[in-house]
Amino acid sequence: MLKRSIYPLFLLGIAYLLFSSQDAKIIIAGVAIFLIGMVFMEDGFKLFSGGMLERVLEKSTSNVPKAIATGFIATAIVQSSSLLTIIVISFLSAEMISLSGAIGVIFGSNIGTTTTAWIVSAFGVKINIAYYAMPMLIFGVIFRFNNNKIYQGLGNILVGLGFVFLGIGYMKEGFEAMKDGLDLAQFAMTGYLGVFVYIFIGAVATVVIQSSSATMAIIITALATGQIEYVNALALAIGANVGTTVTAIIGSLSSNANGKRLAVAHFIFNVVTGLIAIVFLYQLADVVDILSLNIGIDDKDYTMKLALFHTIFNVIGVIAVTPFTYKLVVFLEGLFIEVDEGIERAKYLDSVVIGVPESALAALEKEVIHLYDNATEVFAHAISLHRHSFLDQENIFEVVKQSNAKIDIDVDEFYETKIKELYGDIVNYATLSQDKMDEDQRIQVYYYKIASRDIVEAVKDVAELQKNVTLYQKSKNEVIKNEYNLLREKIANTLDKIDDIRGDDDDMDSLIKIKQLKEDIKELDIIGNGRIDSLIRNNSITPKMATSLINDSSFAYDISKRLIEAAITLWIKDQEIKTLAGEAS
Amino acid sequence: MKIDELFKRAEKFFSMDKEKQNKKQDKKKKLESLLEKKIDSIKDKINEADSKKKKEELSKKLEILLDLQKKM
Repeated sequence: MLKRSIYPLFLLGIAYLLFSSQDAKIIIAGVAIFLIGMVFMEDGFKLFSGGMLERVLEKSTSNVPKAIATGFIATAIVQSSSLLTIIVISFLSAEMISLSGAIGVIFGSNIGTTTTAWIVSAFGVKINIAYYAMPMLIFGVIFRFNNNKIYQGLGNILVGLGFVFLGIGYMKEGFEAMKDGLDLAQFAMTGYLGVFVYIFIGAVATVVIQSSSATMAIIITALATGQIEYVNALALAIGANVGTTVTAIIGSLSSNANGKRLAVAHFIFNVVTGLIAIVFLYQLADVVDILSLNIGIDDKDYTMKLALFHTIFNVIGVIAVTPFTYKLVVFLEGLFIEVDEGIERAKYLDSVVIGVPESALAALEKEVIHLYDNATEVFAHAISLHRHSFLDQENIFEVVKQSNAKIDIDVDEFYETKIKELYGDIVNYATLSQDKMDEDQRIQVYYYKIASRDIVEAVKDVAELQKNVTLYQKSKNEVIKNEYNLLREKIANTLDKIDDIRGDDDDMDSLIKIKQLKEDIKELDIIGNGRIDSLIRNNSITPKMATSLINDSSFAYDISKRLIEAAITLWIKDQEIKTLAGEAS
Repeated sequence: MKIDELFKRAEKFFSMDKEKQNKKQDKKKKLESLLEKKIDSIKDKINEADSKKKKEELSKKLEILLDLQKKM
């Protein structure tokens, strides 16, 4: 509601500035171009790294110091803390990293993001950076037309950098021109009143622009052209840090518990860091002066000093907050608990990462496995078996024969509470995640959809099968009882072998098991193999039993076949072996 | 069929599809070599197996792989 009413006002404000001031128009255009550049760079790194960033993050977050270093280096390279945050949330949801590791990455990322200020102050305002933008844009666009993904990614990075440089150039030009008419420096404020006013302005600007890097670029260019005082620029930088957490909090409102935990950790970190910087602002400014002298920064080079200040106060924040990481984890895990309403929903599908193909695919895979695990409970119980009783057993048929007690399970209710909504979440996510995917990734999504459908259809089939399994388990006719035990054994054997396949490291071993399973379930074709004929001829079963057995054998065959197909998609990694396993009959 | 359409089809077959065919060939070769390696490893295991049951089990696996190899 608030957003809806503020947005038109914001647009009107921008329109007024554009029409009333030529210089403001150039500055705002610069900010817009800068932001477009950041978007291109983020997209470029996603394509260019080809999942490498994800792999590095997964392996380098085993402890907090390592996670901080990883967060710092990764953000310094990709120049996007939001991209890193998105990947970290997806990993957290998929339980690929711990919450403490994720928090470490976010802390490190805060230091990494200060490299933007160094780049802008070292190159952006000292040389005619827009001059270098043109070749980058030209080569970037040429690379973007290449079919190779790496070249496309490189193209996007170059286009992004070109726009970032161009944006800085425009901002600088705008501030320089503005100085002749309106000198913003006349609004400089000293003392703590000035500190608070400028922190507020920095925070609001970052919330509006949704990028602390862009705010820092504006602050540095304004400082370079003398439009703001150095002390006020320091306060603006603190404000930008605080403002970025508001953006993260708003973004996490639609996220799951993990997203919220991380956003609050980020918020706490930035508020603590901001408070330290406010309280010790003047002392920190002195530290910057001393350090500047030692590392060769000129006393009058305020933009470089601002970059140094930005880095120092974020490093201090990390040093101050890191010792409390584990307490923070306990607090956050208690603050946001996954709500269990009795209806099982997706655990791993986070809307925040839906636009990152590799992360979305990993989340989808985890979720389909979650669906499979839920479904196996009903398969076993519907045929009056407990999973632990037959998994890894040498003689499953013997276990089946011994397990005659009916297990109380309402398959329809189970479907409604544990399968239906979860399946809906998967289909919805799979469909929406495809926008930024290439052809191969879309095919993979298609397979996940098919695997989910197979699992769901198998659950529906087992509901049908359950009725007669329960009925004939108590039959005095030993022949029909034995026939139904055979059906139960085939399903239990399928579940057992799939459990083996899950643990296989060698896809070839899985392929052999798939082939054996497919051969094994052929025995369920009791019309084809003449078994039903001999049972009827020998008067071993009644015609009514025969029709039930024919139908239920078909259900058992379908259940097993669907589960095998789902297992091929989920647990055979090699694409060629996967195809061979799918074709094997 | 018009002659230009025929040329188009031929062009497609000899240029673009060739790339696809090469990829397919590469994949097939990779798979064949994987199968061969596995077959050799199972043959070794059969020779080393100390029980009859184990030998039978491995022989069944070998049979499956040989069957797949034949079908490729």
